[in-house]
Amino acid sequence: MDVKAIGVSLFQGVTDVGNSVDFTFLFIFIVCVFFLIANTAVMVYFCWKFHHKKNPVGTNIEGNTTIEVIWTVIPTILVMMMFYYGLAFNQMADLPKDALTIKVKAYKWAWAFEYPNKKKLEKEAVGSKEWKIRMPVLKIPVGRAIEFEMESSDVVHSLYIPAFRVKRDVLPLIKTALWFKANKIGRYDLFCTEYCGDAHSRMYTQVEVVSQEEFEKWYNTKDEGQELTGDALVKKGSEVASTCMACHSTDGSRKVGPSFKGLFGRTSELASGSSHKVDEAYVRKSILEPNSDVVKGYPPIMTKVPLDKQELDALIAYLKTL
Amino acid sequence: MVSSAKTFYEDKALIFQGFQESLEKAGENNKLYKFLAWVLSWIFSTDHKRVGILYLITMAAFFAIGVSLGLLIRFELFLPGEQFISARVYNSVFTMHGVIMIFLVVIPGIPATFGNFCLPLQLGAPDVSFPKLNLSTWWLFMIGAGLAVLSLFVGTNANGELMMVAPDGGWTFYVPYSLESSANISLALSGAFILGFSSMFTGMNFITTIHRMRAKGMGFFQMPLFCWSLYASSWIQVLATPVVSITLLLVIIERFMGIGIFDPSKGGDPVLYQHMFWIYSHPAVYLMVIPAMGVVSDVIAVFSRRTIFGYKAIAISSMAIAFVGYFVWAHHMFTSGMTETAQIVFSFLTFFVAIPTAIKTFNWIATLYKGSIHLSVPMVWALTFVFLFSIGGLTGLLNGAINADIHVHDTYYVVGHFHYTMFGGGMVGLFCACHYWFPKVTGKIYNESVGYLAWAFFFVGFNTLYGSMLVMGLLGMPRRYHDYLPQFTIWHQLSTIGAVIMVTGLIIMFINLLKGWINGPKANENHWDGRSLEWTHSASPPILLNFDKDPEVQGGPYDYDGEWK
Repeated sequence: MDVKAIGVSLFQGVTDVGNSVDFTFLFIFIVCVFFLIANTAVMVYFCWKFHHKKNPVGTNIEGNTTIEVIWTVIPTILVMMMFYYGLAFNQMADLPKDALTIKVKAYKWAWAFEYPNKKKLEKEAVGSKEWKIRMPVLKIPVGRAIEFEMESSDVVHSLYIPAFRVKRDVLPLIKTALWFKANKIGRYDLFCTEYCGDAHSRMYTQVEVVSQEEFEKWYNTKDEGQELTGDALVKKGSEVASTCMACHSTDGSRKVGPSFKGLFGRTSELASGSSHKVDEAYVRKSILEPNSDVVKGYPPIMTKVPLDKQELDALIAYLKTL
Repeated sequence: MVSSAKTFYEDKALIFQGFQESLEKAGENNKLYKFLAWVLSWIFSTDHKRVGILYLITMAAFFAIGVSLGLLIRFELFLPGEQFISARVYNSVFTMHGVIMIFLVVIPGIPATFGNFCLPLQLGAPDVSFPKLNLSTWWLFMIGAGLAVLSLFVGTNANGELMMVAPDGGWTFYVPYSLESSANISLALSGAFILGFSSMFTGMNFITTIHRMRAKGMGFFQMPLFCWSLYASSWIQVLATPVVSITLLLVIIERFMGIGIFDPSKGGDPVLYQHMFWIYSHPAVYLMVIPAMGVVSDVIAVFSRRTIFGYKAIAISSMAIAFVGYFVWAHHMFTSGMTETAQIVFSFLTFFVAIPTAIKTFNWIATLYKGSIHLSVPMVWALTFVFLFSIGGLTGLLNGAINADIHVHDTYYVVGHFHYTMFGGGMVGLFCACHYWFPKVTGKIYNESVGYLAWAFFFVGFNTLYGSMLVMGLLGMPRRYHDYLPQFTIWHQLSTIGAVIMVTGLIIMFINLLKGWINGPKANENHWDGRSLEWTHSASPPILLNFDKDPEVQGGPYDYDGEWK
């Protein structure tokens, strides 16, 4: 499935706060365009009217207090109006009581979402013609307030949904929050807007706003806890591993981290000085506590990727095949 | 005061003077010695004019590097997907573009070049207050710049082996990314730390010079407005730079010792870093643009051949911008997770910076009224400044309003906005100064027709380049992206085309100025019919120690009541 997300347009009304933002924008835009055109027109007119060929001698006018006061007061009033309109943003104190709180985890370089009932999101291919990544596409109900409780597991990220006009930095170990209510069904882009490293521009996914009925139906269906074995497990593992490809290769080439090729069974020299034969216990530990035993020559910068037990098992199974 | 200062300077215009003289003597028969003596007479000269020119030449070189890196970014982004540089290289390229342009070009900018050259001339002083300190700022600048550029090429990997690791993370170096990034950030930060001292020394020197060395009869309100703008920006240099120095030092210490001021895993606060960074870096934005406003005030009055409208309003608004500019930094952080009260307070304060800026613009336009306007090349650049900086300032209003800023924060809108202010403002002011004081610095004049041509290319290219950025930012294109979604392609392509046109203009301008300097025709003594002391009382180019006898001032710096004799 490959659905193109809806972009940004003026007064698209996906969220209420979006309309307030667009109103502020339009007000400021009109004021700015007016002043820019007026100033430039007067400037050009004066240059023509008082060109030295027409007006060989200038008149020395030192100033005029009345005019100075006028052009101090008018901008002051206008900017105070801008300030006032700018206040219409979603404050956390106004969070509706029935809001659905979703925990957002940001890590290099993907997003993870956790619903109150731990309902799992399917990963889908999102991106452009040039690149595709498998990311969980967030599913939310239309017309209900959504609260994001956000935390990063490494550096500062920033969650940005342009069509909703919301953005908030995601900090390590410090929780931040935002809320919004989406009024229109559709799919929208979700970006990271705080520089976070190599794959910053691909820390992308989408938000899918669905009808309340559809959401409830999906939300209350129990995840099929079916056991995966054999090829199915490996296949799932390769999907999980797509997150890792920004830093690890499967063809033996060196990227930020060691290649996955021939991982099991090889002997790695560790930064601590010892060497270690790579076995399942070591790989598991390296995923759960990434920087505890780094391979010599690589920087200790791997992020803790949130994986559940099945995903971890699948990943291990997949890595064994490489 | 002035004459006693003059005796002090007379035998000290050059440190290592004895050595240089003996080299010169030996150089009568030896070309190498002669050349060495000539080099020494520049790099060790305490003459404020030579220091200014040294800055101008070195900054031109850094500007060329910065432009090349910027162009590389634009070419990479011409199409979605990876074109010819990887994400990793791209990240280093935009970081170095920012570091070089901000710390090596726009921040020293006009004060270090034309401030050094013109301030004593405009005040009627033989030199700045502390000529040796002044020379030392250039050396500090070179050392800092050297470290920053070195960080492009040299670094160690995790094994301690030397390899090429350029810094990434953007010129803002937000933590914790900059703490754990393996790239070569400490070296770049040390460079910036040293550059800070260069900036502070220049500021202290200018403040003292303005207070103590004005010509007889020149009160504060008889100074040319360029001096006023330097006065305002010098205070920013002196008061704000220490904060960023401390911050950079803390990051370096944290990288090496892990003391945990900013690193959250050790109990630190990454948002504290952002506060400390912007407490300096927001006033620094005004530091970049206020001197350009000073240049433009002078140029508009001179080319309108009339006195400036609202002298005091312009002078005081410079100080007001410098003052209010200290209290608005957190508008860079509306999305950072600080409290809503803080957001509201900083948004409110931010809007007050807009008012003195608007006042200046209106006064400049009013100065054109009933003038006798000469649309020479410097005047065209000055009016371009008014236009481009108006766009820069007006687009900034959106960043002041909280809800709108949340949408455009960290998108290409911000990139477009700050290029309009710093490039369309600060740098265009510098181009204006280059064309205005060219006959004063060189005694020659460039080709005016070519000057107009260069301007036309620049103007069209600039607006295409950064105008498209404003649009795609509003459409939601985040900044610092190596790659992008297909819906932004058209805007990126327009932007790149604009960049090519603009750079063509820059190259034409550069060649025109260089040709004028090497073999341009001789300029008139007071080429633009100016009324401030550098035009009325000193030769072009000015002699060592500037004036034959101490000038005395009657009337103001834009006194067009009588003919200049």
